Amino acid sequence: MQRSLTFNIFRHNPQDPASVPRMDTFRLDETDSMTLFIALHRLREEQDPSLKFDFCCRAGVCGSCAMVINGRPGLACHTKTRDLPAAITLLPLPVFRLVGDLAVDTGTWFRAMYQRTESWIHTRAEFDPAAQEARMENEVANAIYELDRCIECGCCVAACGTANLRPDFLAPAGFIRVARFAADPRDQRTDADFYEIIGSDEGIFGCMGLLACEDVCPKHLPLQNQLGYLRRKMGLTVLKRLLPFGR
Amino acid sequence: METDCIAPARPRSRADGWLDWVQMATGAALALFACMHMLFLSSVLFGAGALNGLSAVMDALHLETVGGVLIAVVFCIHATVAARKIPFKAAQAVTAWRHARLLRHPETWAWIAQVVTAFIVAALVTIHIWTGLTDLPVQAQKSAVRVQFGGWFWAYLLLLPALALHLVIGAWRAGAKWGLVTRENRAVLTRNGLYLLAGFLCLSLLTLLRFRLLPLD
Ligand code: HEM
Ligand code: SF4
Ligand code: SF4
Ligand code: FES
Repeated sequence: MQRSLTFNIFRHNPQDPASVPRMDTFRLDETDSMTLFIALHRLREEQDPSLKFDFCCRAGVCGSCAMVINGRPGLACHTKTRDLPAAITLLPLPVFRLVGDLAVDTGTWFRAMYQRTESWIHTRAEFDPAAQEARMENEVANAIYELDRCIECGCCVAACGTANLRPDFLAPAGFIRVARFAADPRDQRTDADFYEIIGSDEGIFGCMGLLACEDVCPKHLPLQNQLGYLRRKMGLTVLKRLLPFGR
Repeated sequence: METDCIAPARPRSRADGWLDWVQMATGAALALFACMHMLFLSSVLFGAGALNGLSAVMDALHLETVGGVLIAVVFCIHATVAARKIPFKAAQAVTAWRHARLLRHPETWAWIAQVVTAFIVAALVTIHIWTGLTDLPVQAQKSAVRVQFGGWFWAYLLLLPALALHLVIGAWRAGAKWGLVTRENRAVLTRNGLYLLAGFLCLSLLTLLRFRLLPLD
């Protein structure tokens, strides 16, 4: 049976001083295999052309369409309306700067995170453009790829209690970045170097182990296991400094 | 280009790493102690003689005084260090509460429960340690008098579930933070945690009831 869906959507334009944050209600008849991507486009085309939201790939690849769907951060293009109740509440992701309505600016946050984690291979090896690319075991390459699949949607950041409480928290997306370079044999950074980036309460010691990030990541990155791994690694780095030869 | 979304990192120190160890280690030590404490007291289920006998042995070894003072110190350290994570500011508390309500995520609620129970545990355990340590050795009748006349029955009725929650959630979360609770074993360990919670609650409430009904001569 076809359902009539009710959408409660957050509306606000921070650029407009007269705009007051509010919730707008829309109705829409559900169609076969309807995703939130389709629903929002129809709402914008048929009911309110001023509705703001981000999309690009509509295939769960670009990470632009993340929003809070009935309380949980998720990708709108990946979410089928038939998996939701008839009343659907959509909010923009918290933590990030609001562009308008459901659109947030994740780019600035991720850019700053990349700078803070120094998200590039640190090596003293001279680059020789004529040489063949260095070989890498398939297992290592796969392990790195597994940590590199993040699409920067920001769902994990929005779901993280610590990130909501403190804006300086590096957050799960930042930790998985660090884990990615820590796993890469070409990166010559040591544990002590990584400690400079994540060895603090703004870093891995601020994580409270609530695992909301793990539960919302639409790409199922191994956040939980990597957070535990990084904490042990950084915890041991502190302990090692006790030893005379550990400094 | 703006990069002001994340505040600049402050100069590194080792303090945060150390404090994290201390928080986990003191929490784990208190949790282990609380379990042993409960097993010890539950010997009263076999009669006042069992508890008094055990207590006499421990007192002869000075375990009750020395251990009691040590635990009091660890308790103070844990409370001080772990309180860093409590969102004390009103705005933070509101953010945490709204976040939990919005997300409807069990582990996030568990953390809220841990913070709330921390206050109950802090207040009641402080008084409990004081009354206990100023009235050593532990004897079944002395405790029974407190439970039957001193109003402690109601205090314990609040403290025991609060402590059980704080302890089990704390142990689970420490495991999650340090990577003992993994994606693979999370479901099993969560179930075991709930069994532990139930076991802790049953045994401690039974013991309390036994004290309540213990005949006083
Ligand atoms: C006998 C009493 C107590 C026991 C058995 C206990 C046990 C634990 C354990 C095992 C943890 C997890 C440690 C970790 O996450 O690293 C923990 C965390 C915590 N404890 Fe306690 N605790 C006790 C008393 C208290 C008191 C009195 C306070 C009051 C301030 C407190 C506040 C906290 C807080 C806020 C956390 C969470 C820290 C975080 O979010 O990372 N605890 N406790
Ligand atoms: S496990 Fe840590 S990083 Fe992930 S949501 Fe919880 S506090 Fe944030
Ligand atoms: S780790 Fe997952 S939830 Fe977080 S930004 Fe990347 S893809 Fe999104
Ligand atoms: S539109 Fe690209 S992830 Fe949804």
